[in-house]
Amino acid sequence: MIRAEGLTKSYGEGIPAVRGVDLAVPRGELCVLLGPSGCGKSTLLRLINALTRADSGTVTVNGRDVRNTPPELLRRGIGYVVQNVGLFPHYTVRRNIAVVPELLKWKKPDIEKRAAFLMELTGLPKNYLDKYPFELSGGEAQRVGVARALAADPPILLMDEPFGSVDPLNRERLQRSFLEIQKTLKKTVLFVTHDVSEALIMGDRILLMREGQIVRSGTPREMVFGEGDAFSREFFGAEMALKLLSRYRAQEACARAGAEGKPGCSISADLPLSDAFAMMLVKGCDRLTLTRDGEDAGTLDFYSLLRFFREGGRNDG
Amino acid sequence: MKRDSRGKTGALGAALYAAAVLFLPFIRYRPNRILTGEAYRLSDLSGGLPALIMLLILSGAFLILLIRGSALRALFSLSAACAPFFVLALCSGLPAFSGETARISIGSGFWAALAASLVMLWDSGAGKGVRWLYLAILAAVSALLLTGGFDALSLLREYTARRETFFIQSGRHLALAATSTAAAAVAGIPLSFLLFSRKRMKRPVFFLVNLAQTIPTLSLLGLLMAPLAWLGENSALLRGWGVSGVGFWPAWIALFLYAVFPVLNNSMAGLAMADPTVVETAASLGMTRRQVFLKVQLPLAVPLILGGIRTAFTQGMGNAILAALIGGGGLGSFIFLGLAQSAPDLILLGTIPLIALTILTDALLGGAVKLTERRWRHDPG
Repeated sequence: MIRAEGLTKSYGEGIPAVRGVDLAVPRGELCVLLGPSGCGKSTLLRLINALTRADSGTVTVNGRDVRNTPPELLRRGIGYVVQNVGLFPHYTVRRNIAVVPELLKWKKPDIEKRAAFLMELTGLPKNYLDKYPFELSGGEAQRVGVARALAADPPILLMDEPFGSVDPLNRERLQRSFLEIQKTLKKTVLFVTHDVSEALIMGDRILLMREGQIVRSGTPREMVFGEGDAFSREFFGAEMALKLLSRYRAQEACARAGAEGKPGCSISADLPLSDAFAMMLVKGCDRLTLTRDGEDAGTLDFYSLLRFFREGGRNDG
Repeated sequence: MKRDSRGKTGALGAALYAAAVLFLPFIRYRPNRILTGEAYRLSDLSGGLPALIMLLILSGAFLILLIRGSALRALFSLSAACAPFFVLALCSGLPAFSGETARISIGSGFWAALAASLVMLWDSGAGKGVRWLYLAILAAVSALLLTGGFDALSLLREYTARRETFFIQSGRHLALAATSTAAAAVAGIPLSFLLFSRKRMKRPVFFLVNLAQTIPTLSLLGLLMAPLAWLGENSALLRGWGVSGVGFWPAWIALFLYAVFPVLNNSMAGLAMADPTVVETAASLGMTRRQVFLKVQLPLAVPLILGGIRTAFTQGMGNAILAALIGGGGLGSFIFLGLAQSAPDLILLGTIPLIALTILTDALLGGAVKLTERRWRHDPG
């Protein structure tokens, strides 16, 4: 787990980039650091893997004080993914993934096995192992970046706007496939973003940052249904409720088995709930047939959607 | 517009070619080494007429082809470039020029025709034309050399007289340039990393390196004589290695000092060019500073570092000529001897292998640069 106490860091004069931050990310939680650009969230992340040194305060990672650990050893146990990916252009995908295992002196067959597993996990074809980074699209490069961060199976993952430079369609895919990965691996993740919907979709918990301080924290639902101060209301925006909708799949709000929707009013059960809601608005129907693999999978009506949303998703609080 | 000017350049080249073989002396016949001899145009020679007609046809055909067909034009200009060598071999075989001490020197017509054919080739739009030209001429020359076609040439007479030293001096020249460049690389690359990570040292070091660069080669050799002579006299160990004010070592040190600048400069540029995200990612994955340098920064800088070594080496091959002046040997010894004896063919004996060696090694290093660039380019496509 990650814990920070009284963390402060300033660059030269003026307001410190990070001011007295206390933070705890329990094991297996995906915690999102959300805030406008320049609020210090990236600096906070870099303080944790010692890419930047704090002026005061302490960071402990898995119970060990960061200051007392050689940075190389510390970092080999922390996966780090950044927006520009930073794949090594002179290495193939295989060697990029193998960097940390090689530093840890893994045996060759073990590395090879791990690489194959990670390709499958991140949804890349196996023959990509022999490609060079310049042959990859932005989304593919980002998947390799995630695979490289996960290579030595570190318990902790730091992600700094990892999907920020990918187009919206691919970003959504990457977010979903990362959530799938996280479901199985249960890493302790600190995820930096300035994108409200990304935070609402990805986060188990959200920490809202402003001018170097954490000003609000809570689950995505608490963020949406709670009051919050003026800054928080302005930053999230009124339509954040709609963004929260996309956290769930249509299937989850399904009220009844059996298809009762009007003809033409049907949607795949695995699409986000927001898509289903949008379809109700566009088609003017309050009842949708859910389908899966071309078969009917139940009915979603407007009131069950409303109740589901108000009373809380079944799998978070 | 562009097409027009191209055609004109090619026409000019063909006209120059024709004029060169028609009006300029193609060879110079000398009964012995001392005499200046007589100049001959191709038309003056009995039996030179067919050769003259052939060369004129080559340039004429090129002119006709100016209207279309760049591939054929390239072919004709390559032939035009090789033909003078065959004509030269033909001339040196003429019975009128036989004799124990008799020799033939290459005339201005030959050189002018060769240059004009280069213009023709360049204009024919063949992208890698110049490289083909080198290859074609190399093939023509080596074929004629092996069949003894040039034996009557003064150049070859000079070579035969100095066969042994020729190879020794060529080797010595290459060794001077290659080892001094290699040493500059071995010293310069780690130094560049040091300067890259410790910016404060950059200014003084670059001041010294630049200073060495601004001293003229000849003066640097002179300046090195006194301290090296002193070292050689006062240290038995260094004297044992052959260190003295003259000879191999002062030349080597001067070449080394000159080579450091391009190597250092290019390595610094190469290190600076690496994507900062990539370098930081390397650290974030848990590489030590040493590993970041060896596994990421250095390999990414390789194309530029090789470029610097290439520049240093080419420059070193040229500067190594001056080694002959202080008894360091090398191909310069033929050139300076030729200058002293007013024997232009002896100068050529030093110059031609120097050019050939430089082109060859430059092409090799250039190929290496291309290879690394292709493999390590950053952008898609």
